[in-house]
Amino acid sequence: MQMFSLEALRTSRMARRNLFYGVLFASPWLLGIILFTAYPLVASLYYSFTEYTVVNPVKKFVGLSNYTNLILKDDVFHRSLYNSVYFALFSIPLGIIVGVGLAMMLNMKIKGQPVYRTIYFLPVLIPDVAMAILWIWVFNAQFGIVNTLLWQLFGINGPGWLASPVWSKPTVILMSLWTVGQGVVIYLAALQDVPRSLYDAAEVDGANALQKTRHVTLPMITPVIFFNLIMGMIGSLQYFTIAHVITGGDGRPGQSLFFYAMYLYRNAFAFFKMGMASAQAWILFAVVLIATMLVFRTSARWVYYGGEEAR
Amino acid sequence: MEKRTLNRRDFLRLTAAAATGAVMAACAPAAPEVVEKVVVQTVEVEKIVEKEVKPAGALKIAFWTPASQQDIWGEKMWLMTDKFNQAHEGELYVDYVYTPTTAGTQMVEKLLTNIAAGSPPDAAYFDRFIVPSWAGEGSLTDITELANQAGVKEDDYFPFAWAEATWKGRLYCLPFDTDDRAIYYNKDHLEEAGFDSDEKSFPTSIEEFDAMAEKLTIKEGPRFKRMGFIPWSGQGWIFSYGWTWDGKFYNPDTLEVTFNDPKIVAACEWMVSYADKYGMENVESFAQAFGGEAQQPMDAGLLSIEYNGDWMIAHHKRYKPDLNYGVVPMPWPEGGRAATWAGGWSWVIPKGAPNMEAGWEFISFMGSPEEVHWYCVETSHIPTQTAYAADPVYTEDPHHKVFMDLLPIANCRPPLPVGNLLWNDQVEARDLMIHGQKTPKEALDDVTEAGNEAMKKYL
Amino acid sequence: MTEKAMQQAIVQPRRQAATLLRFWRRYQAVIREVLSHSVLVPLAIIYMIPFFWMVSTSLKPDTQIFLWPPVWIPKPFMWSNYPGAISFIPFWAYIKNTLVIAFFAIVGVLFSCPPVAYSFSRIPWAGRNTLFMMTIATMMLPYQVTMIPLFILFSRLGWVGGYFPLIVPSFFGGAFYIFLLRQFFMTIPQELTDAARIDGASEMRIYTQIMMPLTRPALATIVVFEFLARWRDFLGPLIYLNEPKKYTISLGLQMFRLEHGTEWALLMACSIVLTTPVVLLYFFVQRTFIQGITLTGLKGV
Repeated sequence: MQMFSLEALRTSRMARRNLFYGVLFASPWLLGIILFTAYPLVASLYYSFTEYTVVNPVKKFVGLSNYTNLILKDDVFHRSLYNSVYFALFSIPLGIIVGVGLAMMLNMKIKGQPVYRTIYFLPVLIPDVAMAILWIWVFNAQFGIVNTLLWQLFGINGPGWLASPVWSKPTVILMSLWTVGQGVVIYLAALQDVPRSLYDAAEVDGANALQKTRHVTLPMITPVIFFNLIMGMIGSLQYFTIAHVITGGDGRPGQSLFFYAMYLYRNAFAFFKMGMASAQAWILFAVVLIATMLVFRTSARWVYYGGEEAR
Repeated sequence: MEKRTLNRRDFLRLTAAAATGAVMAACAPAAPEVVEKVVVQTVEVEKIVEKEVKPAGALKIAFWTPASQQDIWGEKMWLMTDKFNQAHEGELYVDYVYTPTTAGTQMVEKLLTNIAAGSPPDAAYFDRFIVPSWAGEGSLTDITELANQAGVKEDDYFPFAWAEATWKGRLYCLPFDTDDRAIYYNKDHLEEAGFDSDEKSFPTSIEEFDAMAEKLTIKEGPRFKRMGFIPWSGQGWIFSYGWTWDGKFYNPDTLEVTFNDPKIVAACEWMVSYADKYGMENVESFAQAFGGEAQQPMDAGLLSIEYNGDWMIAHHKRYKPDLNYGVVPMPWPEGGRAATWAGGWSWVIPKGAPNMEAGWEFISFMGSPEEVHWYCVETSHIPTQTAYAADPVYTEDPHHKVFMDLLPIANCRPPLPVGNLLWNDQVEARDLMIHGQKTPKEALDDVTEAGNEAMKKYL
Repeated sequence: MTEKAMQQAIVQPRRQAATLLRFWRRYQAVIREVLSHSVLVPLAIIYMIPFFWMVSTSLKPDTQIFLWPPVWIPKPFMWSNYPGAISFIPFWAYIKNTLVIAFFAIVGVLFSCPPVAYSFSRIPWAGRNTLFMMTIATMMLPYQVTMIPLFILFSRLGWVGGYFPLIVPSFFGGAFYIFLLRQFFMTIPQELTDAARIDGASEMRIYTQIMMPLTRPALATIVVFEFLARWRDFLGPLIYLNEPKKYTISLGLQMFRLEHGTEWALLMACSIVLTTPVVLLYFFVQRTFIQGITLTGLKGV
């Protein structure tokens, strides 16, 4: 009896100590949420139930009608959601595969490694305003480099790329692979943390390169793969800037590049429909949240934290 | 350790290679022609970042504009602002603030955000066709009284400019400059194909025009070597052809949106016929070329005829001075007419501006006929005041004369609070039509319905 | 046989085996080099093609930008486009402004994010997981709708027009970096921190002397990322800055867009010049990404 209460006392004291330090270390962020995040979040939720034009501070309450109009009646909403989901479904896995593969190659001790690493990172540095025009030139169906090379080297009559309603999204997905360098940086950092001793142990066991990759490297970097997966979902469903600049905001051709965030942006800043835009934002929030929760739930099965602490 | 040395060595090798390359390029035999970069810029960059030179005691007012001083329009505007400041030394000082936009002229995030927060500027340079949209939402100051006191009259301006400047009988902006559109055609191409390239011989009927465009189109295998005409390149919007077909986009009395006017539908069907005839994808890349600014196909010799605006005259002069071209109004079908439409800019005072009187002082100066005339001459733009528009300087250039002659009959985009919405919708509608995703009638019906639905709250 | 000859008979094959093994190892290394280069080089060329196009355009006179067939090698080389681009806009002033913002923002995130990540990964406290989920959730709402209320908030504080709205939030954490660092912290074995705790070390000491040094690559990563984010940020400076002399380089780039058209050659030249500092930063930072950080004191992991 006495032992139990001592134990209980000790664990509750530990728990309080942990709570104190936990909150202390998290305090900058806690303050940040209270100061800079809470009000805008709550405000935008409130706007979603109103007809808020931004320029007119009077907000007329309309209940759920923004939501119902969007989900039930708005074709453009459906199309924009489809476009964004399509983009996410393809760009995320491709981005991860290419990113991890590239990072592993750039991690090998070969001559010119820093030069390669810099080359693959360069695309991330191009300003958006220059990148948009670059892609239009590169993928121009008549005289862009891609089709010119396809014709001259392989005799293939290339497709319309950004000009074709069918090819435009795949093109944009390809474009997103060009900036995979950003994810590669994270993978590279993670690869440094894989202990040498593990590789040595594996070699002693007679593992070859492929086996080492499968059983040592990949599991050890699953935490950052997980990170890029979640961030990829959040980011790709909000994909906006480059498509906005390339298409002048309307997602042409045939609205095939009219992504969710573009429609949201239009409603908010061009049509004085901030209320509707806010509803769009929260619908997206719900979608992303559900998807993220699903991934989190499965993560225990495939994400391996070397620290052995389960999530 | 070994690794580090390798890194440095590689870096050095790379630098050496680059340096060698640079030296080789510099030593390359000099090209025979000396090409001077044409950069129009007289406003010193330093002036933009120097410390404020506000004279003591002067009231400072903020003026926001998307025109940067590096560009000719911004430069001239800045000079006008400077002139105003000098004339009002000690009382008023206008701070010229360049505010970029993300895409086009309709995305005014900064202005919107600041009006919402109650901190708008005192004056702004504003795209005229969205004035009714913003006025309808109460985000612009009603300047009717001030304008009356200053003697500004409706008759001073072209009808289209005044129409865009007012909403429900009240004035919300001072029209500034304008632009309009017509057909540019490559005279060399026409002669090659056996046509008379003189402006007077250019067809005025749409059927002849179509036939000419077809003859001018050259196909090489699966690729187009040259296209005769693409209706949706340049400024070829639904508006452009709707008016040529003599359609009506809205009813000025009832304010009803009538995009599905049968004549407009017919115009769109004509436009779509080009898509069907030539196959969309190959054609689209012409119109889409070069960053959405689809003027360049003519410079590159890839397009023989294009519907575009008067500003292209300056553009061709800069980028392709040897282009031999002519300008004529857009040909029309039976029952149609020679038509064009005009856009342009204006001066506004946002709602809630801290210094409204001073703001008016400034914009009435900037919008005064003499200043507008000076600006338009300097920048090769067109004034909205009829008094100066007759000045011979605007008709010196025979190409420009065509644009000036069209002005009195120019249309403007529907000056309704849903104007911006309608513009965006017709851009999308055009896109859907030419890609065959909707028939012209369907697309236009949808635009009409959406427009009227949105208009309800303003009626 | 002599003893020497017998010894030879034994040593010789062993020596041969050792040599064979060396050849095999070097052969493997060569194969590795050849294979990786044969993949990396073509891929690198593909990655660089748009870049070459940018460089090519930046050196062209106006009349050659829109030619068909496209011209790769400009005639003549307009080297003047580079000094021209830099003098076209208030380049140095804007770079200075951007660097100031970037510097403070980086300091801010380095100061505020690692502790939070530590709290999320190494201190078991009630409510931790909920807060972590909330952290990720804050990133799920598109910025376009929170932009205006946030602006109004800063406007009430009187910060609009200055750099505070762009810098101060960095000192209060950033969800992206917190999440990233938390993932990195989670890979560090629990034993290390447990051992330190048993030894009586305070949380502060564990944090500064054990966790931080071990996550140097991750910290380097967020330095590069935050720098990049500040370098490219357009909307923030656009709505919060009201004086052109305080503008950042991303706003300055818009000056190349003219009323009708764009100064393409100058824009490309300027964009290329702008990549240089970040390239240099990255080139030196990625040296920390050198494999072989052994976790000392950990046997038989």
